[in-house]
Amino acid sequence: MIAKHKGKRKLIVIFAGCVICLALLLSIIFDFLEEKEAISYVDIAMGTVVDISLYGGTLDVAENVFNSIKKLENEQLSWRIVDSDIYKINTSDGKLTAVGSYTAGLISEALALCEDSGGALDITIGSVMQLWDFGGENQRLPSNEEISKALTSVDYSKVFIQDSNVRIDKGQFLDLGALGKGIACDRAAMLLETTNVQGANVSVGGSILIYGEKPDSKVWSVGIRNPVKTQNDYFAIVKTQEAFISTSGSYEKNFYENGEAYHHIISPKTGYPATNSNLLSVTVFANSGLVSDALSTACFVMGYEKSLPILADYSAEAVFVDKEKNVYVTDGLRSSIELSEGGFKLHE
Amino acid sequence: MNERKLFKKTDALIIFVIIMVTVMLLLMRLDKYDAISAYIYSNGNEISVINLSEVKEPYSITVEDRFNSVITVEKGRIKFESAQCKDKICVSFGWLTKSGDMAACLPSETIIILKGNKDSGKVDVITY
Repeated sequence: MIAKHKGKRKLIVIFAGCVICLALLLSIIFDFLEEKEAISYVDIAMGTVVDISLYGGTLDVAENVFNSIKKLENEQLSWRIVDSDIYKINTSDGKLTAVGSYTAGLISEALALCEDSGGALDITIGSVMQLWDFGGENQRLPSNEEISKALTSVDYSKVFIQDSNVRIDKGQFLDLGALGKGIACDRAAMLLETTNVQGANVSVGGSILIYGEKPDSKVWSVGIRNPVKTQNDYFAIVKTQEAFISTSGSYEKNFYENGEAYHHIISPKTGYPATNSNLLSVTVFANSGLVSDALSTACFVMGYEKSLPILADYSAEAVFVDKEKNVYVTDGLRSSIELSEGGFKLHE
Repeated sequence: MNERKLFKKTDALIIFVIIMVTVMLLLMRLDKYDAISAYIYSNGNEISVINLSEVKEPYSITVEDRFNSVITVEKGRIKFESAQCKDKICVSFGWLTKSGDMAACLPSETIIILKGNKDSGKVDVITY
């Protein structure tokens, strides 16, 4: 009888032990599956959402990253904010303007891209953009006469740089809108390098910085926006290590007038939205944010075939999507892209 | 003498309690894993965090921002219902349902962003 009791007790103990082990195992599995929480910071700068996710950092660091982007906008890039470098150049009435080596360097790099793109990118397009005022209070379809007049001031070759001083012709207007978000990503990377953040992704209005490594050391997965759905939908996933990524798409900042759609990627040659490339979006992966953002605009204007040489020159890779949902990918991305939405066709 | 059963009622009760407590703890753990929360920011400040998994009845929030954004909250989803801004791009985002989904009214400086494990696995970020 005593032996039976002992045997029964042993069974209960073994049973309880098995249940507890199973519970612990399942708990470990949940922990494994659960994403390591990133430090997150979200706010608005440069007229768009800045979304910062850090692994291995603190909220203070995330806030510092945001503040550095805000400072870039206020002190260097904005054509709206009085006392920013670009504002000073634009209001200098054709005089040489001291802006500091950082801004002069950005403009110099931008001019090289204007030249290499054969003018498909032109940072002196500001007077044309002012007429359209995309997303602004005075957004409208300008007249042909207004556009023709404004186009006379569009000529990047007239921008002169001497050390840290910049001069544009009277009547010209610098607008770095095509590069600004990418430059912000560069600024974010510069700051992160001074911290012990192990990995981060920073989105400045959809221009992305992928920095360092994820906690699980897996490659990062970047979705490319589905151009015919919302900003939260993607049609392809690209696996990547550190990178700067920017997308130009006709789905943003557009409006309709008399049944016609007008998007914001303006051809510096015509003064009208670039349409002859038949593209919906271009996504560029590059070694700097400035280059990725500038090339995404230039390549949208140029179209797929004409973009290939400049992409190669800058060691950049790209994904092009046209209005028939054909997807063209440069060689360096072929093995790392996967379409995740039906209706899109990957072309060899 | 009648043979005693191997397990008495008290033994069965003990085993039952062990199983029930373990199952409850695991369900609580699973609940935490599955939770998805909406973070609402206005003028750079986090003004609300809502566990969408625990919402029982739909309700609305009016944000005291420049354009009086109205946000609708339902179990598992959230959206900008209306705003007095010019373009209403915020409203066009529709329902936000998975981790990483975001909608913003830029003129109002109001942002909604979802975070959690549910449906979060596929991408870290979207370029647009």
